[in-house]
Amino acid sequence: MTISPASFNFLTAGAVACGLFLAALLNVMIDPFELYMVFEKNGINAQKPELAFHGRLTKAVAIERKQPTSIVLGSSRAALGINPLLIRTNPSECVYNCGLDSATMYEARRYFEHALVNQPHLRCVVIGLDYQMFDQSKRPPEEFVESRLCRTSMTSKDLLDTLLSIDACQASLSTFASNLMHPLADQSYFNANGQRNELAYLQSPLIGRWRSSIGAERSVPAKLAYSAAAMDDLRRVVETCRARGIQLQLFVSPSHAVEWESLRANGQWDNFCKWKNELAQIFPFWDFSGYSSITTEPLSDHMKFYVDASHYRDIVGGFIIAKLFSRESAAPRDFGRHCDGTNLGAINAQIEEARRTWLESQPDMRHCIASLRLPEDAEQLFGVAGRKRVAQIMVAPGLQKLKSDTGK
Amino acid sequence: MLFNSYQFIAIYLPIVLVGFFFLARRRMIGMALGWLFISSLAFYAYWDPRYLILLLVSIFANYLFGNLIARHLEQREKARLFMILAVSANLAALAYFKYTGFAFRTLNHLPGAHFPVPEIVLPLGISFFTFTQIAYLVDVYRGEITNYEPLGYAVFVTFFPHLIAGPILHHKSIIPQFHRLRNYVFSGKNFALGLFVFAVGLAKKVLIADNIGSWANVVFDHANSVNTLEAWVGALAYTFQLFYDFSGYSDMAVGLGLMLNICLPINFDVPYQSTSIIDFWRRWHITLSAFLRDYLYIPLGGNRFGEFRRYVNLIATMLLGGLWHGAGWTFFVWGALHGAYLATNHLWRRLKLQLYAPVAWTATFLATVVAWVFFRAQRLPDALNILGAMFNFQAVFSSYPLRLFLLLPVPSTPLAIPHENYLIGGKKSLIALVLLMASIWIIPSIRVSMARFKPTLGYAVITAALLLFSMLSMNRVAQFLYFQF
Repeated sequence: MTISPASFNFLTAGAVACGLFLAALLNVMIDPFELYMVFEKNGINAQKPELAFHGRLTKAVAIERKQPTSIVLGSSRAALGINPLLIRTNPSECVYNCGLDSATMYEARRYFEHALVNQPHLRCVVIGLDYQMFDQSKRPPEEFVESRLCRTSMTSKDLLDTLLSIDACQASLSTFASNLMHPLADQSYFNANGQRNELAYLQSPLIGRWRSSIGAERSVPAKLAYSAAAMDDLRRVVETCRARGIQLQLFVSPSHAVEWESLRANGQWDNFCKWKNELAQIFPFWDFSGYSSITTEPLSDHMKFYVDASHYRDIVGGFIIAKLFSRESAAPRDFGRHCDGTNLGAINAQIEEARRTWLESQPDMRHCIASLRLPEDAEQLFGVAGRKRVAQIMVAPGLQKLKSDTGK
Repeated sequence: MLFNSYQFIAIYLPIVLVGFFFLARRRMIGMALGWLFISSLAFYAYWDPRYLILLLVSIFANYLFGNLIARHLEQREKARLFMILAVSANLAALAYFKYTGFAFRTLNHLPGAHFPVPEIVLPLGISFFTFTQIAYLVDVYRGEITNYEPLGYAVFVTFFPHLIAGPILHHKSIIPQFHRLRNYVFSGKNFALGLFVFAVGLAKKVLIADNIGSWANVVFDHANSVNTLEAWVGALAYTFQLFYDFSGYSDMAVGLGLMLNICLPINFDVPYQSTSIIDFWRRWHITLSAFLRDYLYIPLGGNRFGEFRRYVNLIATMLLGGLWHGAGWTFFVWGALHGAYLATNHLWRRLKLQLYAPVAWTATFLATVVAWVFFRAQRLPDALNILGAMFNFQAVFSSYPLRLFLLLPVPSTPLAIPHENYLIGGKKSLIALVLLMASIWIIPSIRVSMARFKPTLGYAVITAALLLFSMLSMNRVAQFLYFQF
């Protein structure tokens, strides 16, 4: 049907404008990245599974909005295990967990600086340090955008990207569909205080979790030194905190003993100890690495302290905070040692001793970890697991390496 | 500022259009033309205001030289001297910005040479505005034109639709349009056609080219470790990316011109349908081909001094054309290849040899793809590695489809494509490339689309859909895939 050129122009421009408006409306209302917060309803948009892929964006904007006075920094371990509410001094204090999945120390510093720009009266900073954050071959992912940090409002690019893009529309539709199908499930990737949702993570299969967490060590090539630039990033955070009177607490994450074994199998243990030594020269920290009654929890389908080899659960996070702030808790005495730069040698010796004791007191475990020759041996790691599942775990490169080393 | 950005579509373009037609409606023609000049400068300065001075100096100096040449046409020697001086100055500026780094890098290959390579930023669009102005100077010298009035000339050089990526405009076809009073009256018909052409161009760029670029990038970034399948996917993805990117941008320029009642030349005419390289160069980057023919090939002697000299001229023209595209040996080889292709093609015609059309098309397409590998590669060894992988017949003969075709034993998991490190699009990229091959024949050229266009409801829906999906695809929310710790 032929129409006049004027009608053609009007119709075309009008349709495009309406389409863009509807797209923006959809993305504001469903708000898959938790940026606009204008509407929230169970069954429509209360759960935000898409946050799993956009944590750096969401957390940068959340810091601008919440202006927290106390923050938690670190990788996914801190993001998952540390409840920031535990570090607040009064119920009205705004706290936030800025931990980022697979974070580098550089990113942690930049998010610290971002928090400082938005909250000049920052009171307390807790940093969960992981060796992987200092890996010199590791670069921030594409999702990390420098220009969105150290400012007090969203960039125009982020606004356009999250309102007027196919990606945002797809995220909105997938969020809506997910809410519609599972209105009561707790699927948000992280909570309003920035802590990752443990329940959502526990929904994924146990085998997958353990495999990927041990496999993570593969990304650290053997004999590779940690990054001096990343150490400088930490120094800058420490100096800023000292200069501005911000309370700073550092700790090395308590991964499960299996992960420490995996680290050893990859030839990284000595570098890991050197790294801790340099940390101690920069600032005192709590060392939760090694072998304690927490980190040597027997592996099973339903573990109290761990969701995988790398990530500890909320309860362990509570113990950590209690130790950092010298509070009463049920944390076992052998969990964590305060390191001030003079006692690291003794701490490392204690770790070696604890490892020996652990391997001796757990003949089955020792057998599994020391030989790992056959899936049947490793089956004992999980007790209830079938042979096939254990065989899958054996694929994890850390264990493969361990197997080949010990098999000689 | 890019055409495929919200800044351009939602802010810059409406302001320019409203300002231009508002002034024109009030019969302020000079002001309207001035508005186009100012807004084109703003368009250019948005990228880097420092190079605005270079652009303005270039326009001023070339216009001045044009005047000098026109005034001395009676004294041919003087006119010739001015023309040579002006063209040399243009080429010297182009050489300085575009080729200094390349020259130093090449010199450093000599034993004992360690020259520091200067970091010179290439001013946006310098290759285009240098060529358009050289054409102007040469035509003034040839006495083909009298000099233009300054504002019309300045708008011709800076006119934002063509300023940064062509098409290469010819003054004779553009400047007179700025002086046609009818062109200052808003035309709903032209605007509708412009909107449609712009939408098609935007969709080509955003929906097709931008989506397949990464498939090629990863292959060319790992040129020494790709296998046969990956190398072909990379080469074909780039072949289509370049076409849809460049032709899309040219189409957008044509559409923008139409919105302002200015007809810009068509730059692409389904080049991958060509059945010979001669045919290809009549359809690919048509305005550059015309420039190289009129201002390089013919002045070099063209075909006036025998067949051998013709081939030499063709190869020389294409070598320089290659270097015009970029400062590097890969572009040089690309130009040399196309020069050799053209010479072979002319010889073939002279011998009156005929090829069956599908064979001719296949040979032309493959020759073009091989040349694009050099065009895209960062270094010559990368191009050779990719071509080596593409034509690794041992790998091809061990591949599943061919083994099946030849009734040889096949792997036990026939339907599974082996794990490919650099085939990031997976099976999707294979299907997409098949569709893109089909698109060569399905998507009509913009010339045909424009001829067919009528302001109908159907066209309005298509135009709006293309614009909407393209605009929504211009923004990306980067994802973090938590696969590793």
